[in-house]
Amino acid sequence: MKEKKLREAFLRAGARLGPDPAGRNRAIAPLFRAAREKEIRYDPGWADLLRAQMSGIPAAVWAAQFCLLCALPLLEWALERYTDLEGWQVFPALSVCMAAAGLLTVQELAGHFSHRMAELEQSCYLNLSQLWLLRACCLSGTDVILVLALSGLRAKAHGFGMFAFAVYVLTPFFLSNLIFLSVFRNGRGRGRAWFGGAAFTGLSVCAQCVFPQIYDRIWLPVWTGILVLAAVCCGMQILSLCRRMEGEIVCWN
Amino acid sequence: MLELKLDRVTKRFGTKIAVDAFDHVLSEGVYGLLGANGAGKTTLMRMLCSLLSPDGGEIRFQGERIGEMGARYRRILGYLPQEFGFYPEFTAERYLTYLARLKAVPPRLLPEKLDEIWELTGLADVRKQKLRSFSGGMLRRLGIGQAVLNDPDVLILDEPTSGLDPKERIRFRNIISSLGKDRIVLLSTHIVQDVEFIADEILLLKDGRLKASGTPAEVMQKARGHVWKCLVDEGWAGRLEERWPVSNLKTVGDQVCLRIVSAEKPVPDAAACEPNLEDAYLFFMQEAENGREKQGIAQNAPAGRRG
Repeated sequence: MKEKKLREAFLRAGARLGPDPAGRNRAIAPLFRAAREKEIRYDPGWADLLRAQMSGIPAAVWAAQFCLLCALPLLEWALERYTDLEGWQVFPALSVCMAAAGLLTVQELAGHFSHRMAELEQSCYLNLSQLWLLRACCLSGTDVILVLALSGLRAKAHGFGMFAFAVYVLTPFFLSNLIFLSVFRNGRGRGRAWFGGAAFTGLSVCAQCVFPQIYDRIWLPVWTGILVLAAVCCGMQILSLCRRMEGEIVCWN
Repeated sequence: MLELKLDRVTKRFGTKIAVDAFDHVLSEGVYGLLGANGAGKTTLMRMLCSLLSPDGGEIRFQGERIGEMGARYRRILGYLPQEFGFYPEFTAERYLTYLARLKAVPPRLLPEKLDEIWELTGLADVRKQKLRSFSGGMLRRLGIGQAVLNDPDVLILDEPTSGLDPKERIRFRNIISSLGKDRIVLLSTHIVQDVEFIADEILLLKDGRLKASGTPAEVMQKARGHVWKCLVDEGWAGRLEERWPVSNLKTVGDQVCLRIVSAEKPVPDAAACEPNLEDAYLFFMQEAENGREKQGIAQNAPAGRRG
């Protein structure tokens, strides 16, 4: 009897109270907030992506890159100070440094494959092709900025002008990048192809010593044309490799 | 409810068909993909990870083609490749941090997430060590750690236990089992025991085709009546082995106890026995072999003792 009365009283109270949407929302809001904070997915911005890539490049690569680029002004200064070389004669040496810097960049990009990370990286939100583009931009961008800075500092000393100095130094950099990217794309796993690429790069530097007249002012438009062409081809080569990565290239492993 | 639907998925490499019209629907749970080397497991998994595009058919996640989802699909994907790569100069912590960035894990959640991974994999003590000093088992554990770093809805593990010692394999199985509650876990292996205890469903793959599927009990049930045990002398054991798949062979004195998978009684005195998953695997693989001569020996077989 008592139980029945209690039950009726409870139901009456329940009907009177009814639902309280505002109170419900107030009670649930902290739970939703906590859930949002726990949300594991987010969209990284460009700054996040760049920071992530810069930190992903091993310190040894940055150090090697830095050493090579520091060697440029030192070499250039030493050649001028301690030898009787003419202005143009320092360029082959600088070209070797820049070609080596280019090789370092390509080697770092190829590292994803040699360490068998390509397949795993391709399955990530930021996949291998995006990662490649970012890394190529980070590494090559650093090289180009430093070369331009060097050009600004030292161009006058040689009487070439900043533009010509930059063109003479950047051309071997982009050419070596192009050669090694082509070898990477078509001759992966073939030692001879890499050797051929290195030999070709070396020969192209020697050609500058044998034919010093190519540094005459008259040839500057040709140099500029080659530089632009090599830079465009490099970009196309990287984009083409990125497109192939969307297909089967990552399964080379 | 998660759903990953494979609809007549086909992949060719030149003239070879690696995966042939694979049909299946995966939902939450652990799936064991069993098949011999070269059966098409890795190709299928690569397609599920959107690393390869199918030549025919389509793969849909929650009704949407994964190729069209692109980064949205990769965001909910965890993958452990068969050949797990790593940068030897990286420490375990740096490696996971690097991959967490690629997987777009929010930086503010990363410390908490890493703690979870260390606990899951038992690698907390070695997190500052370089990966070049890691053993195969430690690397595999790190591999599964990176695969679950982004709390994926779809987890693909390609032969995760290959090269592990028995203790590591058991540990690994337990980890995978705990991960399958609220996500799709597809695990490929050619080691039958790896999936026997943890898979909710087994998919048997042969020459790129799905030969059978079902719970381990269902798959074993299908092989019932096709598993025999017999005791024969050594000469006959060799001949029987040539004729039928033998799932177990044990020498008992001067005789040999064989466990044979066959549609018919291999020798008159053979006794039918309950199939295990290895038997079922051999049964389906044998069934797939076309044009195989299966008869002729029973009539000439000697009277053996029951084992």
